[in-house]
Amino acid sequence: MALSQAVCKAQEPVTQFQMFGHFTASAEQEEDDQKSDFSLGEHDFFVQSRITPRISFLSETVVAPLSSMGHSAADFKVSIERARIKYQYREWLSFIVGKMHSPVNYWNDVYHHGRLFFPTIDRPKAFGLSIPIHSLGLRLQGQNIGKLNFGYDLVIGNGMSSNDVTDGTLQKSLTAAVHIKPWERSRIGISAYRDIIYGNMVGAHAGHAGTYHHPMGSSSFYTGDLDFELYCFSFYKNQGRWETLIEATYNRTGVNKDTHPDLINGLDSLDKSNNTTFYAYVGRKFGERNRLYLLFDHSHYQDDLHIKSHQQFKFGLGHQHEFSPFFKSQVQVERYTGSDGYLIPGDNKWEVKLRIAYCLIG
Amino acid sequence: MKQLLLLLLLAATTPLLSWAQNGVPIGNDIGTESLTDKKLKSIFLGNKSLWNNGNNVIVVLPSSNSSSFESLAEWALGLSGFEYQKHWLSLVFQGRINAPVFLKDEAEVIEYVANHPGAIGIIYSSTPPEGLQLTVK
Repeated sequence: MALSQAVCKAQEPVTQFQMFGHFTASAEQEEDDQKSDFSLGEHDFFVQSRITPRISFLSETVVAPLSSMGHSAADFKVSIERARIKYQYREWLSFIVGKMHSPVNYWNDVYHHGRLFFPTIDRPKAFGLSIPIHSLGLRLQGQNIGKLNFGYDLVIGNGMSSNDVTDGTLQKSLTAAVHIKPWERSRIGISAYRDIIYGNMVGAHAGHAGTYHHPMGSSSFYTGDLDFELYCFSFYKNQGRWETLIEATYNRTGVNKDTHPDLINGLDSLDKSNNTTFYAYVGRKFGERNRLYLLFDHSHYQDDLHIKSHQQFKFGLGHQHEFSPFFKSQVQVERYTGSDGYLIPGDNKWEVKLRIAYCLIG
Repeated sequence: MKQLLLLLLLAATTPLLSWAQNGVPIGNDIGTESLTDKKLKSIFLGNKSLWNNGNNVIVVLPSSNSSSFESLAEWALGLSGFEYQKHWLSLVFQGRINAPVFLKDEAEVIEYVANHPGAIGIIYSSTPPEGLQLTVK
């Protein structure tokens, strides 16, 4: 097996095609309610091409069943998740334009939609709450600088309220991320992200949706613009038999006082919310192909105008078996719990999940 | 006594043998003719994308079915070929590095490196042309 068998002159483009996919089965029990599912996962078509020695292209196009279609499974959505051109000027400076995953944390910058790489079956809970998954714009990147392999990413792009075609405002989202790689197969990073969420509505790039949003039209839905700040910390290390990943976020959301000065007095007491998430994964290898792991995931949102207040915990125990570098299975037992007294009551359920993930290479 | 002498001889020559065990690096127009062992490892782990002379770093690897691939993985990553494949697959997917070029055997690796400025490979089981050989400091 090989990543690429292409043999051609350096001046010719070298293009590589891959497809990532997965299937999932789950069963859950919440008090007396029980249910189970078999799910068709995303099918992710990945293309990377070195067009010239310094210019490369990369794209990820995902086909996924529409979750709202339930068991009919008749409709699918197609989404270009990444499409970007990179010009490498120096090791310490590359220019990237297009749609990309926001480099705010390790998970979003490394795993993207490739379930084959996920250490646990689900993404950390911060995805779906605070993490702006995509950005469409310009990115400056440097990597492997100096002895600590320092790297940075600076992004200016369409904000979370935009879609893949237009933004419609002068304001842009800003991301600044730095990391070091003190050991091989490690990375420690921090980032800051700021944006304005217009009308408290998010578009294609946010990845925020579902039951955690204040529903439109409800008494709790704030229709003004929101200042959004996000700070992330990531730690990843894979050495010897142990693999560790920690993702922490701190998010502040508040009324945008420039665009809605008339609302300051009425909502001043809210100021900005202080939201946190914390995800930890520790895995230990047994033999070459088996790994046992533990996971912990916590989110706490209070007095937030964008996401409903809640405090929830998730604990998990899992096993991963790799049949090859391109095919693996995971089984995970999860316990969900939380605190009452918030808009979203605490979970109280058990779940078992089975995941098969693979990569095909052309 | 004879065994002890043999052991001493082996211990004394291990540093000299280490490169023979790890293969001979070859490169074409990479802006230097010698690299440190650490730098070379770093290149084969995907941590460098441009040479100082401006050429692209093109990492050329033998097929993952070959014994050379296992030797290279053990030297570069300190792990098996299985883990080395995962390492490269992940790096390419991240979009931080161009994909390495995988070829059927070492003869193809030598031919590819000879024809492509910026290409670098490691040869284990044959003697590469002197003009392509790199020195390890």
